[in-house]
Amino acid sequence: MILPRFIRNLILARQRADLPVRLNRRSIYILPTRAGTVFAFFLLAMLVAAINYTNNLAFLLTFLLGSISVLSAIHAYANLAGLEVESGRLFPAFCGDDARLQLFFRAGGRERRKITVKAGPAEDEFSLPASAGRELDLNVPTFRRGLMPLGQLVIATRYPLGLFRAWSPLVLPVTGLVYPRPLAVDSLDRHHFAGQGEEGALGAIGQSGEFGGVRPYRPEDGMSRISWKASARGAGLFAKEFRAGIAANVVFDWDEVRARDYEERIGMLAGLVREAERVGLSYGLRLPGLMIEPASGASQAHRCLEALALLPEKA
Amino acid sequence: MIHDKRRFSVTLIALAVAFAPHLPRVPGFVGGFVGLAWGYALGMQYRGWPVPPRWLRAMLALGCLALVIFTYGRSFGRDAGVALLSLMLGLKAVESKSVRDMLALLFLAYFVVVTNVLYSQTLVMSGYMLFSVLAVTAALVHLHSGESGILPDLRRGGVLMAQALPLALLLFVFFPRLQGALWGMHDERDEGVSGFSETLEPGSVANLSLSRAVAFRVDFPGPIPARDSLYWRGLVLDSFDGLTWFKDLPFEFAELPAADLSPDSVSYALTMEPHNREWVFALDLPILAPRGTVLRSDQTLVSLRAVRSRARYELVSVQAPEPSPVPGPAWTALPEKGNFQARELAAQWREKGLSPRETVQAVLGFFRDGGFVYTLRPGAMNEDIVDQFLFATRQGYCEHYSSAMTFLLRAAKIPARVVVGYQGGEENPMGGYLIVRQSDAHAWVEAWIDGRWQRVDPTSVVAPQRLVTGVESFVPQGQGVLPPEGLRIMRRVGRFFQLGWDAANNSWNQWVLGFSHERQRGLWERLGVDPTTWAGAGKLAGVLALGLCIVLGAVFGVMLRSRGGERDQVAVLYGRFCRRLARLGFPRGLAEGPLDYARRIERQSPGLKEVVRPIVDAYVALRYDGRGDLAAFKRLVDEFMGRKI
Repeated sequence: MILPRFIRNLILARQRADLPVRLNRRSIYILPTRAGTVFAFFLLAMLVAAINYTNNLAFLLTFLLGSISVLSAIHAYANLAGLEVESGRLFPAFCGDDARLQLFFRAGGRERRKITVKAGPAEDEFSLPASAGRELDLNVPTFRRGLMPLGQLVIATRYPLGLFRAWSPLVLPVTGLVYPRPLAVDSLDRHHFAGQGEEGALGAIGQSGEFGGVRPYRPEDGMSRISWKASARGAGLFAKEFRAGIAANVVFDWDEVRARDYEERIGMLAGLVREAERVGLSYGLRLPGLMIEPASGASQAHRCLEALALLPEKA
Repeated sequence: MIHDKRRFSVTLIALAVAFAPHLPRVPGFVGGFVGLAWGYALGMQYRGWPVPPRWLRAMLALGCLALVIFTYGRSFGRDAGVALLSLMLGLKAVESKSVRDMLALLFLAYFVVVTNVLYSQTLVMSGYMLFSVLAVTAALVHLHSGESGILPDLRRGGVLMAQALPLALLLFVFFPRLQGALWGMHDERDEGVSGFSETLEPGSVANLSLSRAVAFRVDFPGPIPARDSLYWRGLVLDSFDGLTWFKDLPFEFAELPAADLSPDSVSYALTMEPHNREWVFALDLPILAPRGTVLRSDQTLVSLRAVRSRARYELVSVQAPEPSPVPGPAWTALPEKGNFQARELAAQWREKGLSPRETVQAVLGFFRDGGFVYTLRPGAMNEDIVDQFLFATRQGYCEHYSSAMTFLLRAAKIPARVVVGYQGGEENPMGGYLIVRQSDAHAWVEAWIDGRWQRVDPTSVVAPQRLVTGVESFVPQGQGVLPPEGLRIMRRVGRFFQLGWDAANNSWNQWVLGFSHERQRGLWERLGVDPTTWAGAGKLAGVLALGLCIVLGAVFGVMLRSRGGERDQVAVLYGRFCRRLARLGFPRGLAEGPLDYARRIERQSPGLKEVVRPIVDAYVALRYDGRGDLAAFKRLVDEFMGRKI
């Protein structure tokens, strides 16, 4: 449905909730399903038949079925009411991949049956015994780099009869980070970098050459060539081996990357960071107005990718 | 997907429960088709049989339709409708793949349950229908619960129904009932209901004497009159053709009854079982015609329409006849020929100059002293049956006696007529009402004496106990293996259950099936509300709304209550566990999670490891994994609390 933007915003504002959130009558909506509507017509036909034939047993059955269906709305409501979303977390992901949304539900005083959780196109369902909790993972697709608010989360149920659907649209204060889509980088080949093969333009510090694996450490290698990652297995010290070309300790420079446009440049840098992290280089990143000193490890990768992700839309 | 298979099986079971009562009613090919289709549908689910192609399903559907039309012709009535519905149940099952298809199947099943009312509305069938609704509801719940077990869903279905029942009853009582149908309906109720025919010939009453079927039930607000005075008049027969008594005189309305009811009038409510005829039975002489009936000049009631469904009548009767004008010659008419001996006997009495009253006494004396036998099996008679009976066999049942007596009286020029109806009845002490059965069918005589039509019952002189104990003493008894004492006890126990069952049925008929426009009106009048005025209707609507609110509010309360004792029992138990550990010297850190806590305790006191570990694991499973067993956790904690450490 196309609604004016301000109305949509108003609705979303109403659905905004802080974690942990407990579903209550303010946040639960309930309407008959298509099947429920069909069933209503069917009951109406039965009622007309009962009136026409003045058949009391038919009256009784019609009223019984009608009451059951009305009460099933209360049951559907009760299935949602009191359910708690205790926490929600959206893990970072590269743009184009699915981001993992981790939600934690707590049943509260009643058991819960077949509750569907939907975030965008991702959907999953769960049941819970009374006063139990559980984690639910959803894979939310990503489309743009940068901060990604979760948007609307819909928790719904058709239990018990499928005649009514109770649902609760929530806008949770959960924001994820979407890294730029990394462009494929086969190897840290120097011609990804600017310049026509001029060394030094990379700002290479220390050893140069392409990373070529590890070999047992020799004292003349020097401390900076120790591969701590390989040595940590406890089989003696190992040193990184480099082929000629690229420095082992690199800083990827915004201005040095050869790319056609702004977004491609970001993607290229993201690809380089991912590749460098994969092979275990110590790497840094220089962006306009920001310098990240070389380091390695998951937190370094995150720092670099975050910086790239949060770059403004257009230069 | 094993889950879908299970759901499909549960759906099929619910369908089978709903369809079962129809199985004997539909033609064989319908039952066979449904069975085959369901079997194939199961094969599709479990064996991966292919879904029949679209054209085949279309052909099957058309074929079924053609078969139904071929079987039932163009009169598309109840039976044809149910047959078609059953075929649809089979066809739809074969093409069911999704949840939506199963939903449609279950809606159809509800419909099938409701069509049962067209055939039977007995207490047993109604109970079964309620059970079927439960089965279908549980299957619907199963479809939407995502559970693998059926038991919780069955319980939820039961809870739903139990909560819905008061609501349904409220609507049932308050929903305004109309008088008559919205549009004309073609009614095809069971034909061949036992009961009287319109004529009386030898054997017509005796045939009924073995039937225990209920003819009608009567509620007396006051005491029930003595049994031998309970004559239920149904039909007055005025003409005789030598073999059969029948009704021939034109229809005449009764004159309007006297405005004031005589003080010895009896009022009662009579609920008649359907008999597909127009006559309505009433105690002796009804003086008012209830709605839908008219009073004939012979003081019998006739319904305006054939009584095709159970009907309740509020009646007022008197037992003493009013004076009536001199009857015409038709009331002494006899066939030209036949039965000369009887005519001669009557002529003798006339020559003696006996008054009508004395003539009646003479006939009764003739029966009493002539060695007459009252029997259900008088043997066949063909010609001059009155003569044969009076002078040869002298064995007969009430129709022989009343027929012969009326003949004799008419031959003696005394206006007389045969009345058929019922005599007596059995009081049900459990319901305080009277049951009149087909076996109470009776025939007697009315003669015009002293300006009134007065009742004469020849049976009373031949077999007086017939009027007191009923017909059973005349029914031939087989020799049983049980000694008579045991037999009597057995019979008494049997009777007890029979009467209790009849009382339950009667209440059902009266209060549920018989809750009509009139009874609803009566209920409002008793409560002092007049629904025809705006104020009255508003009051009723208000009461209904209040009732609905109370029921819905109660359901809301029950459903939203987080079970008091179980309110986060996991946390309570865990808290108890932690406090005990704190007393042992291991207080839990403020921000310490259960796993860290357990690891710390294990480090500090390895001896506690095998006690603490399972409890913490169970707690984590319950708390963070959405599975785990609360009862087992409770057991572990209780064990821990009781343990000496």
